[in-house]
Parts: sequence; structure tokens; C-alpha cells
Amino acid sequence: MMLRTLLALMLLSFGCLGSQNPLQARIDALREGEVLTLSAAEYVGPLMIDKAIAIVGEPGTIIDAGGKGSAVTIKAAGVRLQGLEIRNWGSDLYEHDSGVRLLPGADDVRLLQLELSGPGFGIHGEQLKRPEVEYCRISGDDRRYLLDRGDGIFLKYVEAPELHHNQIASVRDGIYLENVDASRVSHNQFSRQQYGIHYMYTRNDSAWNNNAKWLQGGYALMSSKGITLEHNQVSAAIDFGILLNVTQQSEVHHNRVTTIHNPKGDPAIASEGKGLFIYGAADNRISHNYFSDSDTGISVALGGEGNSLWRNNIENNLTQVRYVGSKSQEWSLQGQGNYWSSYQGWDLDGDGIGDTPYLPNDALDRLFWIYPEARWLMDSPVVLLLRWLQRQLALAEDIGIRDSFPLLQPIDIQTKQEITTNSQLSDEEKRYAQH
Amino acid sequence: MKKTLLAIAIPILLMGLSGCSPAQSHNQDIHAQHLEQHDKCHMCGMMITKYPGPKGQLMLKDSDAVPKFCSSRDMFSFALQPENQRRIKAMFVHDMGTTDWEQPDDNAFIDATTAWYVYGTSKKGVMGPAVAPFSTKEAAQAFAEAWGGRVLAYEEITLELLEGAD
Repeated sequence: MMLRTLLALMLLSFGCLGSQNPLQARIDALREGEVLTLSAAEYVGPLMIDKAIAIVGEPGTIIDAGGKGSAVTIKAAGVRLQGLEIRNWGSDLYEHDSGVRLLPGADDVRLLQLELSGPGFGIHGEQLKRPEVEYCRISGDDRRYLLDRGDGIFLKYVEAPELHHNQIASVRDGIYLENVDASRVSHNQFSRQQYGIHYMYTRNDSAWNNNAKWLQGGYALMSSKGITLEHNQVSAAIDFGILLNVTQQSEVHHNRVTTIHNPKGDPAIASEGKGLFIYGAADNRISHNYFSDSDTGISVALGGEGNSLWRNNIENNLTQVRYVGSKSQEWSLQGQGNYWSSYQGWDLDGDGIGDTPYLPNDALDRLFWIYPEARWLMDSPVVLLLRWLQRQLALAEDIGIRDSFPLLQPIDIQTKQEITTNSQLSDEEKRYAQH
Repeated sequence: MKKTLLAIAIPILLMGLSGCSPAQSHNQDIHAQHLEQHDKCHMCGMMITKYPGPKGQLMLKDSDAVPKFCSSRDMFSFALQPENQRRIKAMFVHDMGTTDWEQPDDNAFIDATTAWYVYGTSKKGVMGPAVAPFSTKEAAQAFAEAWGGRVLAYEEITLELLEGAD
């Protein structure tokens, strides 16, 4: 009896190994430029595509990778995948296990309307050009520790990727770009992950109309140059809304950063939530942003002084600005400062600009940051008196951050106007919208 | 019975007491910790072991937290902030003379305050130009000859130096 079952099992497993994956056989039989339309069914991965073909799935087309390796590997240029549900790939990050893996040279690949769920990377690509990922939904594995998950979209040494209208959740970084040039990232939604967009050594990128919520950090710009970050939102993040770190010549404007709060944050080791955190970054222009309701609105470490900030709304943060250094910095441009909810000056000449400069931190703030053990003195009458004197006599001139032209009214930060009506959707998108 | 209990209890009590006493924290007892795969850089938040180059960590006088850093550079960025300078009990960096650049080994952590540094080398770290530490001046000089850069003493690593780097 035992023997017979064993034999049957062996036969079964041999049978499986022996026959080639039927979908792979169909793919191999295609010629360049052909389109394979799959009817709704569950197919088995892994699949390998080595020529310029398109695979389009009807609703309900599933590719299951069986829990290991990458589900679909593409090693040719000009491939298009559309309308597929790809799931259950491997979790080995070292081996780059992914839903869709793009090998070097797989240029001009289009990944459209894919539903991807698995523990490794959603999409992983290295050394290639112009990949396009649009209207995809990527979800990782919530049960894994944040840093053991793959990134939603991981691109390294890639030129001009177009990443739009994706929903990415439960991954490590939503979009991770390393040594990337001229990426364009818009209308993506990020949640339950480390960072929404993580730039490392990138150049000339732009990101707009993205929304990040419930994550460690919104947008991390690191060791990069010339990024335009505009009209993005981030809320309910723990570490930061926007991080500018060793990043230069970037334009950060019209972003909305709210409720950045670290419940375990300890100001003594500067681990509280920060709307904008700048360090080691210079020559960036930051304007028309909204920083509100966070532990710290804007935190600047020494070495992050050389940036322009003007016409931002800085409202209702527990600490509006944290800058411990004493280098003087002017946060205004051509007579236009920022709006501070904490500004208490007057505008007697009615020009919309406060008559006295705003100094978000005074010398006593710095004193308490440097000597936190003296914090209990903060509200003592002596300190209050010193503060008052300091203000009356302008003792603390030219130390730290100063806004010489504080705005009395918050500025109107509109989200980017983009007209996307149904009539302008392509036929492809309309078809997808109907599903 | 009571006696035996006491005999056991007293040493335990004494051990407990000595464990609590602040006198125990002699500087020479402080050792660098291992970097775990999940450790994130205290400055920039990145996964530390994911990237190459020398790392750093430091111990604080007033906190049990041990901030660790993706690069010796980020460690200095933190340590040189005015509010942190006076709180640092110990500082460790990877000795690049004895360990691999791509995957520095935690056994190569040395006291940062007695190390020599090469700044402006062609070897890449994270978060800007690397601040490569060495246990001896000779090792630093040899590295600088091979990979470029200036040899600097610990005191010469300042925020101005790190800022001036493009």
C-alpha cells in the first residue's frame, strides 16, 4: 500500500517536471510584435519573455508564481504586459524575486493595469531605459517586517522611467530610484511602507500629485540633484514628510505636509516627527508648501543652511522650527517671507507683511536644546522675563533663522490643476475603467 | 532552610546592587555593537548594511539609545551638532585598513576619536563623500595614495569640512 502511494506520488511529480509550462510554450511560439490575449484563468509561472511581444489579460487572468523566484522575467525591449493579476512570487530580496523583473537592456517596457501581490519586489529593473508603469496596484506582505519586504518599484541605473497612477501598499519603499535619470512620477498613492519615493543618486527627476499616507516617511531626497517635487501630499507619517539630505538644486513647492508625528519620538535624540528635515543639503528652493500639525514643522541640522525658503505656510506645529546652530539665515525672498501661525506681530501699515521680523527660535530655545536637563526651567518667571527682554531689546539679532517679511495671511496652496475627464482617457484606460 | 535561602539571596542581592551602581560604566568597558540587518541610520533613516563604506555608531551619556549611522559621515553630521557634542560618551567607526569596503565587518570598529581619516577619496560611501577612518596614520596615507583624498586627524573633521563638499 505504502509503496504504491509512493510510486504514484513519484509519477505525479515526474509528470509535472516533465511537461513544459503550457503558457511558456505559447509565449515561445509567438513572433516579434505579436499580441497574446489570455482568457480568464489561472496560469502558472515562472515565465520568461525574450522578444518584443504583448500579453494582454482579460479580467480574471491570474499568473501564480508558486511562491518562489520571479513571476515574469523580461529580457527583451519593447514588451507590454497589460491587465494581468500576478501573485505569489518569492521573497528572496538578494535574488531580486519580483512580480515583474526587467533584466538589463529591457528598454521601453510597458506595464499597464497589473495587479501585483507578493512578498519580494513588485517590479524590479536595472540598466534599462524608458520603462512605463501605469495604473498598477502593487501590494507586499503586511506580515513581514518593513525592511524585509521588497520595494514596490525598484529601479537602478535606469533612464527616464514613467511611473503614474499606481497604488502601492505594504512594501518597503513605494518607489526606490537609485542612479536614475529624469524619472517622472505622478498620481501614485503610497501607504503602509517605509518611504513613498526614495531617491538615491538621481538627477533631474520630477514628482507631482502623489499622495503618501500612513508610512515612515513621505519623500526622501538623498544625494540627488535637480529634483522637482511639487503638488504632492503626505500625512500621518512617523519620521518625516520630506527629507532633503545631501541634495542640491531641487525645487520643492506646493506640497502639503501634515500630521507628521512619531509617538515614540524623543526630542533629546531628535527622533520626533519632522514635516521637512534638511541636513547637508544646499541650494534648494522651497516655497508655497504647507507644513502643519506636526511634532516639528521644519528641522534644519547644521550644514543645511544654504537653502531658500519663502511663501510657505507653517502652521500649528508643536515646534515650528528647530535649528540649533547660530548661523544667520534669512527665510524670505524679494520681500516675501512665510506665514507663521505663531507670529504675534502687527501690520500697522497694512501691506500684509508683519512690521517686525519673525524669529522662530530665540537664544533660549537653543540653550534648552543644548542643555535639555534645564528644560524644567523653561516656563519659570526668570526665563519668561529673559525672553521678553530679548524681544524688546532685539538681543538675538543675526543669530539663527529670521523671517524679515512674515506674511499675515496664509497663502493659498492649490493642488495642481489637471483636467482628466473621461473624454480624454485613452480607449485603453476607458476599457480598464469599466472593469 | 532559612540559612540556605539567605546564602542564595544575599549574593543575588549584591549582584543586583552592583549592576545598578553607576560606577560600573568605565569607558574601557564600552564596546561597539553589531550592526543588524534591520538597523536604520539615525540621521537619514536608511538601512545601514544595505550600502557600502565605513559606518559609525555612538553611545550617549544620558540615554541608552545607541544611534547607528549609514556612514561615518552621517555619524559626524550628528555628533558635531551643538546639542549632541557634549552628550557623547563613545564613538566608533569602521577601520577601513582592516576590513572590506563593500561589507565592513563589525569586528573592525575602532574608537573614532583616535582614528585618522581620509576625506575626498574616489571610493564611494553613502550620503556624500566618504570620511574613511583608519587606526593608523600610515594606513590612512597608504589609502590616500591609492584612492586619493586628504589625510586628516579626528579634530579636523568639522561641519564646515562636510558642508564644503560637493
